[in-house]
Amino acid sequence: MNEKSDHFNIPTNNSSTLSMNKSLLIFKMLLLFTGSILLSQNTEGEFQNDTLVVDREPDFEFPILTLDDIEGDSESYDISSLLQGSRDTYVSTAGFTFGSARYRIRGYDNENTTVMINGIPVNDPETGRAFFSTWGGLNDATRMSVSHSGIGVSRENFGGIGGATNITTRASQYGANTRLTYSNSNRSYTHRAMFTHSTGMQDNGWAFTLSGSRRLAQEGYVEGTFYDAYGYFLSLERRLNPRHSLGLVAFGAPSTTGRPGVATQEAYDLTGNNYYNPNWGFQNGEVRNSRVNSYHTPWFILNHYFDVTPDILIQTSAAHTFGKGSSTALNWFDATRPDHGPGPFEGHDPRPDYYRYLPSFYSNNPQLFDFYTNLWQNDEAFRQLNWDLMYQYNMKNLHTFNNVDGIEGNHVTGNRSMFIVEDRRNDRNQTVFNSLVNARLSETNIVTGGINVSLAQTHQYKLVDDLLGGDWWADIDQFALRDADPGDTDFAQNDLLNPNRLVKEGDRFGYDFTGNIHQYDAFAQSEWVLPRWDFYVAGNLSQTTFWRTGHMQNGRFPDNSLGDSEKQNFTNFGLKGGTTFKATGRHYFTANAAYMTRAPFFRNAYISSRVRDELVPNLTSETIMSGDVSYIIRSPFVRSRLTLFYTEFHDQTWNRSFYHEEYRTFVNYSMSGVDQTHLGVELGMEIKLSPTLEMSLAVGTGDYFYSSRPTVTITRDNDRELLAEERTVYWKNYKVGGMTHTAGSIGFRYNHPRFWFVGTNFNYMDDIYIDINPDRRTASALEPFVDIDTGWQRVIEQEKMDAFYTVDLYAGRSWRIQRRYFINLNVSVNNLLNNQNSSIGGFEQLRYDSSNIDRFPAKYFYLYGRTWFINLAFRM
Amino acid sequence: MNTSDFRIKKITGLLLVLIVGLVACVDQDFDKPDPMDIPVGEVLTIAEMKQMINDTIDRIKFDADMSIYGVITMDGSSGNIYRGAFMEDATGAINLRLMSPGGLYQGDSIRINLRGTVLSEFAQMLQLDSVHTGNNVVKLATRIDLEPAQTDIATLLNDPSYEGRLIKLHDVEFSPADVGNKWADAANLQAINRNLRDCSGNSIIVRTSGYASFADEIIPEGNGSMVAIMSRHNNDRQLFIRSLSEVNLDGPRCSEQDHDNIISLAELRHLFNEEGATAVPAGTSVRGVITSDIDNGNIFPANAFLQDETGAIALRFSGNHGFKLGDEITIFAGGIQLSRFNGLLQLNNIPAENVTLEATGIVVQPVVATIDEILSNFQQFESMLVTVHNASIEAGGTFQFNKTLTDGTGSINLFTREDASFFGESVPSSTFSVTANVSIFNNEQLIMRSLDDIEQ
Repeated sequence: MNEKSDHFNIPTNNSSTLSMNKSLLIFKMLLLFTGSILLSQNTEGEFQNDTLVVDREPDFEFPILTLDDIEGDSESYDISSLLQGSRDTYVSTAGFTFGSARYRIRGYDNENTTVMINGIPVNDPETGRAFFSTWGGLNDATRMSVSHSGIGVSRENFGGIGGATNITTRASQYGANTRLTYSNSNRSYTHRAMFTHSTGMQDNGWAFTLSGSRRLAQEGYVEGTFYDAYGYFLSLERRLNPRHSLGLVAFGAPSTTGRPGVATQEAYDLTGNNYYNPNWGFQNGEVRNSRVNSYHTPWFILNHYFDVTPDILIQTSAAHTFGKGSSTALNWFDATRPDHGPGPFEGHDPRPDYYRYLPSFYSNNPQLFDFYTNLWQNDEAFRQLNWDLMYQYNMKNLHTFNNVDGIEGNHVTGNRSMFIVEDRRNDRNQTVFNSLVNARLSETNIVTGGINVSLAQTHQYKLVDDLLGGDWWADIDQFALRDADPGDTDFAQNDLLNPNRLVKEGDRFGYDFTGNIHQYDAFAQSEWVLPRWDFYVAGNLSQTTFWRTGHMQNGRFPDNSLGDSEKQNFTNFGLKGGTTFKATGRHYFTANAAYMTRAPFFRNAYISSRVRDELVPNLTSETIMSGDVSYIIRSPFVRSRLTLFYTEFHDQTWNRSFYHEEYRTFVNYSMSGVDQTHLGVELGMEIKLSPTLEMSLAVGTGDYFYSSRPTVTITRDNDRELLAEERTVYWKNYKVGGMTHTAGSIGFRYNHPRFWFVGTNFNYMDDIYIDINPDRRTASALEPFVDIDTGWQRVIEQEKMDAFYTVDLYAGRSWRIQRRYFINLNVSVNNLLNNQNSSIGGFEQLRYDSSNIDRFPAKYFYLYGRTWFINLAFRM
Repeated sequence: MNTSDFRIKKITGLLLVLIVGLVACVDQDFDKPDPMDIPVGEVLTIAEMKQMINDTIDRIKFDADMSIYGVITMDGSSGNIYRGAFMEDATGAINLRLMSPGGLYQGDSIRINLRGTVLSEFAQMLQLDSVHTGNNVVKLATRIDLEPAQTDIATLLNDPSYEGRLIKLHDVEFSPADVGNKWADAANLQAINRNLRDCSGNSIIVRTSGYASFADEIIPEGNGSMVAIMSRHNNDRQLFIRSLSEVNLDGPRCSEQDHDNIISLAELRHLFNEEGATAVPAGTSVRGVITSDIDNGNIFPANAFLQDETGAIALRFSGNHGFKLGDEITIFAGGIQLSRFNGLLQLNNIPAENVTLEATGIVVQPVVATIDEILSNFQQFESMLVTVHNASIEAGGTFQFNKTLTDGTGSINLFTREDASFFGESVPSSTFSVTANVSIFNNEQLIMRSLDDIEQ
């Protein structure tokens, strides 16, 4: 069935003269170039601050086309699906070029975009975000996608206001070919190899695609990072009869990466390196990273395709995913900073950039200030972790732990680990049932409907990953130990049913709970395509139920940590609609609007889900309203889109835990009634200046800000003591930070008829605001000041980073051998001028001291310097 | 097969090899480092180390490998001390100041390599500073319970060899002002010094930090034993408690203890060493009758005269006492000071709780004596109730302040306080007999009780 994707279809010309075909060919090549850039792959599955980032490593797919190819059936099917999957200039530039600066289209978090595989929404139920790392490295296999950005039509799902993307992995849709690819880069990974073999639908009624991938780096662009990833993919399809097909897709992308870090400007200046990474250190002369992320969540999807009639397709699917998400970090108890001396090196924190180890902590003591400055500048071992010493301290830390396992008199003596590496797990388990109907009711009307049932569990706990030379670690909470009443041995226990437990590598400890999230969705949509006008309208209804099941009885919350919590239920709905006015065959106007409510995500719903089942106060669904209008030009020489958009989010919740300087303890900080407004302009243009020279322009600017004064509740993390209630946060009109609000790119590309091309982009970024700390905009934070004090300003002002520009260069060539074999070589260089001094964002620390705001300064991210990507692909 | 085909196969092969080769590993295997070597070097005892500080050297930063061995007798886990620990061996003890809190526990038997540490005096007590538990300390064993040294407050106040050591005191109690209060001010995180004393009158400070886990507990009122660490801060000797389980003050207080050991007032007077102040030995009581009269106001309400068959003595209570003329009282005098106040021997600062009223209305017969006899054997007569016959006041006038009394054998001052009931009354014009207490205020004097003491 020929699926029309959206309103931006190019009216195809059926003329078959040679010259016409040639320009068409070039035109299509250009489209293919744009179309082949796929959103995804290299975003690490972060649990926070994930964005819809397009693969920074462009995967140029540039097959050589001849007349035969255009005429031939298989190729044309492939091209048309690629055309349908084409991105518009703005979106592809935003993902591909702006992605390295953490740009987000319209400023939305990626929970506002629905990502699907074969119609199954794969956004993480716990946070709503799509983790592209789930199919990382499987670029070939996940190349076919249909997507729209913003509010629009999707034939698989109601989508979000950020859009919807459906990646097709139906075996019969792949063109029959074999691809081998090798890439070399200096970004997150160094080497990449991929192979894919597709049969397409064969005469015997079977189709399969097999793909494998490997990406690795002993050390990536940032020192101390490494990359170790595989990918595997299998898609099978059996055409039972002309109307029924069954498909099976199985894929996974196990990856292990050493993480980069983030630090204060002082640390960057002292080390002379804006990518200084505090997470790694030397062990026996080798580089070891303490923050290693490891993911493997394979998917198994069973699809049934039923062409009831050529105009009606019913697709029913069942899918299951399971796997592990792991993130390691150091933990320490009763420790002394691992350092040889000579001192004075006070402190217990092993992390080298702890605020007390920076010269600024000694600003009142010039001698110590110089001493620390000198160490930071000259001693690499000092400014990184010292693994050797952590082991050595552990190996001699003889200690007796009393009443182990709660048994009176059971005293165990051994080397107690002062430092360990712990592994924080978030293992997901999800089963999805989905059914879609797509029916062309008439020449002008297409109707879609679907239901989706998702039953998910997220099991969160932590394990001892490495005892670092010691014999055991005691499973008690060190902060609770400090706050406990004398004689109360239960308070500090993490697991009251197994008190005073000594844990070893592989043992679960600390916390253990499962989030259960059930979602039931139904949507319906109708599209009308008329000569002058297109309309569509869609609605959805959903029911979300979630609850927490605790597996450990926590000593601080013995009554509400173990077992099932109360079930939370939310009923939500959404409505959207839009229209396209086709003024001429080349000029279009569109307008879209959406209104929806959305249940809170499990991740944001509980004050401190690790230890208790208490909900964030005033938990409610959020409301989203959005609208956009666009003017689109489609002509042989100009393609452009100009869009104005406006979106409001209401009643979001914001929930964090951190150490609060004023209360001198860990707190849970829950804000409700958070509103945001995003409005702006997008312009994407492609202009054919000559048959060989093309110019592209993409500019987006917006204003994303908080539009309400939320109220915050602060509770002590260790007990339920309410530290503050109904406190107002005066952050209205502050910008939503951590990202660029203005981005622009102008590019030129020269295509030589002999199948090589070269191009350059000039990119500009501005209006980059720091992610602010809400607590600094409260009356209590400003208590020490009157409003004319300079101190007042410094506490509340929002920092804006300097604007910057970069230049990219790229080139490519392809060869065709023996009519069957194609070789493509593409080279791209980003940030040609090696600008390493531009910050792309940052955040204020949640821990702060009003009277000395520089004590806990903001932390910044910097744009990578000059990076390259070389891609060699072989296809037959 | 033509060359193009071959080329294709070569390229394919090359790519395959490349790809297979990339199944190469990312090396993330790490070897365990060797254990840390903390050299022993020259071995010192704690006493030897402390002796390195003397009149000429007040600070030593160790830069060679030298070691001391010992057991940790107190750590910071109760919160009573911070970033420190006390370490003791057979020869003495030292206060350790650590680079970061924690890491050392009571009962740890350790060796410290002194390299990098600093030995110095802080507030007149030696401490070993900059001890890094990672780089300087080797732990040899745990749960070594050192026996505390049994001693007493007087020894602790005078013998410097106990500094830093774990000690145990017996028969001690907190002063009445401290009993019933909290050990420290936990609300404001302020430390408080409390007074611990024995029944011989010796007292020592017990200091508790506002951060101590037991700061909010109440100081017990009983008498008993206590284990603590002995410390010093300039001229103050102070004790740190490790845990309330080592404070066993549940017996009867000094003042409640057996009062069977009653000595005579003559013996009591004899105890005074005539140099400064002398504390009455523990467990000693005296009993007598009050021969002064606060109701008639010729004596300061906190003062009194006490007399038994053997002698008499002046009493100074810690506050207004309320004992009347003729009250028989027992005073638990253990630990109470004997001193002379402007020449008058007194039992000084007697707390009210030390006194028991035995009977009232007891009449003491005064001794008849001449002024000459009194002045010649003053110590025998001091504080006693006497009657002088044939007395006269030559100058006449009224009873106010100093009047000269003569009896033909000599003269003596007769003093009347402004608060006396008979202040301003006319003195008798002819001779009379007068009964009074013998006293001295730089100069000898007689103190009448009331006008009834005059007999004509």
